[in-house]
Amino acid sequence: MITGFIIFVLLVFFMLSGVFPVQGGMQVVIFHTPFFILLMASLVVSSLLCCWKKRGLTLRKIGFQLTHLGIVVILAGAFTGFLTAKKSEFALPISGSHEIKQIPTGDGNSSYDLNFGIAVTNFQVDFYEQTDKQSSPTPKHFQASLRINTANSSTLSHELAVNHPVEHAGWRFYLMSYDTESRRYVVLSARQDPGRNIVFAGIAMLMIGTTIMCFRKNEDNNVTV
Amino acid sequence: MSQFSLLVTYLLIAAVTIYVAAFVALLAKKNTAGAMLAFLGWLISAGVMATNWIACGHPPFGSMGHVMVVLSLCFLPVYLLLRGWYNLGWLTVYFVFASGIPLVGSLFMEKEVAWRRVPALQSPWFIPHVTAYMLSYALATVAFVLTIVQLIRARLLKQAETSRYYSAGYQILRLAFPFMTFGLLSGALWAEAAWGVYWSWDSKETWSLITWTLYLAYFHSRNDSRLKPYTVTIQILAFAALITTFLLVNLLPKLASALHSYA
Repeated sequence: MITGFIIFVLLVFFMLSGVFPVQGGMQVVIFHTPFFILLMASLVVSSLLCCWKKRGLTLRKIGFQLTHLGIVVILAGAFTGFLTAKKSEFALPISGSHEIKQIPTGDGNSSYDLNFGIAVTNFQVDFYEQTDKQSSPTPKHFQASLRINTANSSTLSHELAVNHPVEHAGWRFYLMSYDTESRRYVVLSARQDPGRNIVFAGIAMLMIGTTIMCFRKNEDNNVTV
Repeated sequence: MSQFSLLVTYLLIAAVTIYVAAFVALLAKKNTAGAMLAFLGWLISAGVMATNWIACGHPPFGSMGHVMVVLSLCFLPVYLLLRGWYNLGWLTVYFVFASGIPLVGSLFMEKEVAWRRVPALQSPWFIPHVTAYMLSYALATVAFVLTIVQLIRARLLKQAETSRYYSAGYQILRLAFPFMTFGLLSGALWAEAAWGVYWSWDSKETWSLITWTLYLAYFHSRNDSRLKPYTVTIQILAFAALITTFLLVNLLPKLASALHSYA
């Protein structure tokens, strides 16, 4: 218990140092340092030890196990993503003839091969009614069609909008923004993250586990681990 | 548009006044009158939320002035629930106090009735994410008030029997924590759908995780004899972090969050 507590305190201090802005948003770099990863690793080890000490699958212990293992699963997924995820953000002209098969890497120095081609067509945008003349109109909704020419040369077309990403062959494509001046291109973000489903499984475990632990009545208040 | 803002302002002033009256009545042990007034205050606040909703055409959850009203509305249902489950009916006066505060906040905030829901906010996660957070904040506020009352009674007034405040605060936080967890994690799921990353260490995100971690530390410290003396301190720090997450990140430009610029 005391180890876990020390980890929480360290984590809070770490986050406090990462939350105050420095030039160019560089404060978040702290969360990619070996020390932070070591802190997360010790959180994983201590959670696993807690689960081992409290092993057994009675209904009383299930919430406990789900929350502590949920943290481990989330961190395992996040670490998988940290090591292997591919992320890219790029502008793509709105044109059926402009198909790309390679997208730039996050740092922009190299590129990823997609194995399939993508193109953006049918861009549409709706605005809210304008109340004052000076401000620029607020977009209400914008969407486009993402055309995918697959590896075995069939053609798929998917609706792409904010909050509605398109998934194909492990890649997920997100519509981020568009050319507000002349509507000639859209900005897409693409991500291939093998850790994503692991993280989501951990999130489900943590949500369910916390609910079970906290909503159980007549809890024994003096459980020590 | 401006008549909506004016209506909202009058209704807010009316609701705050009635809550103050209810608070005074309850302190004077006029329990029935206090409860009736508190309920009237709640109905008027519901009217404010309805007006906001009509004025902007969406669930009014997106600007700070709107969210404060929703937060205030959360207290009564939560109180009724606690009264039924844990025999915490004696907490009425604290809930009335806590209901009034966000309305005062909303009164002083810009009444952006013409608020527009940008595409990133148009998601099925919008309502559950905000509602879960407002419920957990409402509960955590009451738990904090109880802790302060306990400290005053125990330290300043030297009253011996204050443990009921301590355990009521714990029961309330136990109810708050699953909602806070759901709010935090649903935020991650939503961010993944909207921006392609479930976590990006944006300042609102980081502050919300600091808050969550401190409440987690509170629950862990309660179950360890060596840490138990620090429980109250941790809870106060956790609530300070909650206030930072909820308000300061948006109000202080230095801490401003790029992603959560709406609320």
